[in-house]
Amino acid sequence: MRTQLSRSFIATLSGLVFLFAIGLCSGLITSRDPLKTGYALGLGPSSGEFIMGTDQLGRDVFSWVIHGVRVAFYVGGASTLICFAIALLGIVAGYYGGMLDQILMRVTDLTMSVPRFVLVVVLATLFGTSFLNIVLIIGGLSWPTLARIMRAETLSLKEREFVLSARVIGSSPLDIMLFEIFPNILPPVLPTVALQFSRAIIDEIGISFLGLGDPNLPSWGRLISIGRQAIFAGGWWVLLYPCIFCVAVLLCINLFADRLNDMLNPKMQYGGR
Amino acid sequence: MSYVAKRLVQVPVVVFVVVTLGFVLLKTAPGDPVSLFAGEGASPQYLETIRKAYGLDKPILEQYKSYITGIFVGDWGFSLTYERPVLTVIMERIPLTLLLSFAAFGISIPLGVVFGVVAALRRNSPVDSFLSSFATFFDSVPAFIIGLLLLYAFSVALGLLPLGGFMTIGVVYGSFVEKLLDLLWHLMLPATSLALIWMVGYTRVMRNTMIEALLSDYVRAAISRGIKHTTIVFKHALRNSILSIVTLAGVQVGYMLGGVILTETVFSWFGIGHLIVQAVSFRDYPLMMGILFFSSIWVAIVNLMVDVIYCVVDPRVRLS
Repeated sequence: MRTQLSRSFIATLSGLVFLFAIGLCSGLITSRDPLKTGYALGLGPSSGEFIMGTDQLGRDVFSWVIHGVRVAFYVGGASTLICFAIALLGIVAGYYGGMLDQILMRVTDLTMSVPRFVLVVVLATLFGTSFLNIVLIIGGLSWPTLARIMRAETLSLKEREFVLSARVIGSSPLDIMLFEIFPNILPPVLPTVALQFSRAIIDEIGISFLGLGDPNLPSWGRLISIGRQAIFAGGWWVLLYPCIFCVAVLLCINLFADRLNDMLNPKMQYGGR
Repeated sequence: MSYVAKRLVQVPVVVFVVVTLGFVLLKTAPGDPVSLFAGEGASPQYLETIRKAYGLDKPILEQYKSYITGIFVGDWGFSLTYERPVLTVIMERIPLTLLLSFAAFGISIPLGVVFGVVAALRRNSPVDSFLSSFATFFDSVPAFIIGLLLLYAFSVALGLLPLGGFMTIGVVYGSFVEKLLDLLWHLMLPATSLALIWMVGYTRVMRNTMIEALLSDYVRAAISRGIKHTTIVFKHALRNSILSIVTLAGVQVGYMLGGVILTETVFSWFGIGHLIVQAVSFRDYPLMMGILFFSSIWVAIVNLMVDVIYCVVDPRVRLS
């Protein structure tokens, strides 16, 4: 059972590493600029020269899809980092309680009082659509869930013996939060962080599909919206290839998150799978 | 009941805070909405006229006061693109969004419940692992991508289903039934793509709560009393899982306005999601903010309703 679990963990992890490597080396895999028009005369099916064909303006779909891997990892990584950093407040709030805790809880209530994607769209419209803004918006709207988990874990950990004994020997609150509580909340938190990564990618693909993405980045969302036009002229390849890659990346991350959860929190499974 | 009353009071409070926040966002956003709306090269006199017409020349606190009272008395401003009151435009689009999402719920909840029960009863069997990989797949993929692929396969390539919209353009219907059939015809793909994604939650919740119930003491007691297996499954275990289904459905109904935006855009389904995209592309800020407020009111009211349903379904909530 144990080996089977770690084997599937390694499988999903290597899938992720492989995709990450594609993203990292995207410039080496294809020399064409994904956003440059006029490589071909217009919409064209896959050929020896253009593996995944070209879009209406003669852009190379293969190049866009490959560079899109990098964009997806950038967006996912940056907004997850922001989200994680803000969510650490959950530990502080859980540890100290009181006013800070109250404020944090009300703020999380507030962000949950509006559907997330509506707010993402509104903020992207109001504040413009640079990469930094998009990442800040996505990261800044997705921390509440994580913060709540961190807070709940901290609440249950802070009464445990090892925390109490750390306090008895005179550790400072910062030391306790950093070296006693933080490492111990990671098992329940990390799978959620991994899921946050894929959710951020989904959000970015969504807003760039709506034309609200960073115009200088070859995001899959924008290619998919071009593909939506192309299918009516028979250009299914413009739609299909980015969709396949996008599904592959999201599936890999989610499977990885599942396996991570199975490994870190074996007690949480039902029915002894 | 006092619990529900307390929650009822919270609704206007949440709306008040969201509207205030929305006002702050509007005011802190870079760029001048008036010149955006008027377009490039508009004369200063024209800009001044618009500013006056929308009360944007008044001090900011006064603007805030009239803004917030407006929201509460039903004056949500004027949509620049549709040239009608924002609230009217929103109310026109709501039925289509409700139709789409409730069609998706109508497919996803029964199927999800059935799949979940089957997976729980045949736990660790090939059926269970098939359903679980099915769930993992649709949990990872956004609904609009499923929608786009379905659109290509069934409408463009096979030509079986309409390309979008909610009814055939230019058709005079002979009867109400014909109109209804046409609507359902157009509803098929968007509802299916949403339903496939929404189903995942019900399947998982149902499987987990069912397994928990089947392993519980009261089910074991029922088995030892010799009660029929089907009775145990449907009367004892299933009934206890309903509450978690209600919770999940409540969350999904509440946040559905975010979930339908992209799917409605893909299928040109003229609901709220399509409307906000329209508002965004024309920089129609009053309409865009109106939809934001509407969706927060929607979330608050749905949450309240879920609480009431809880009280009805589960006596323990009422008593505590």
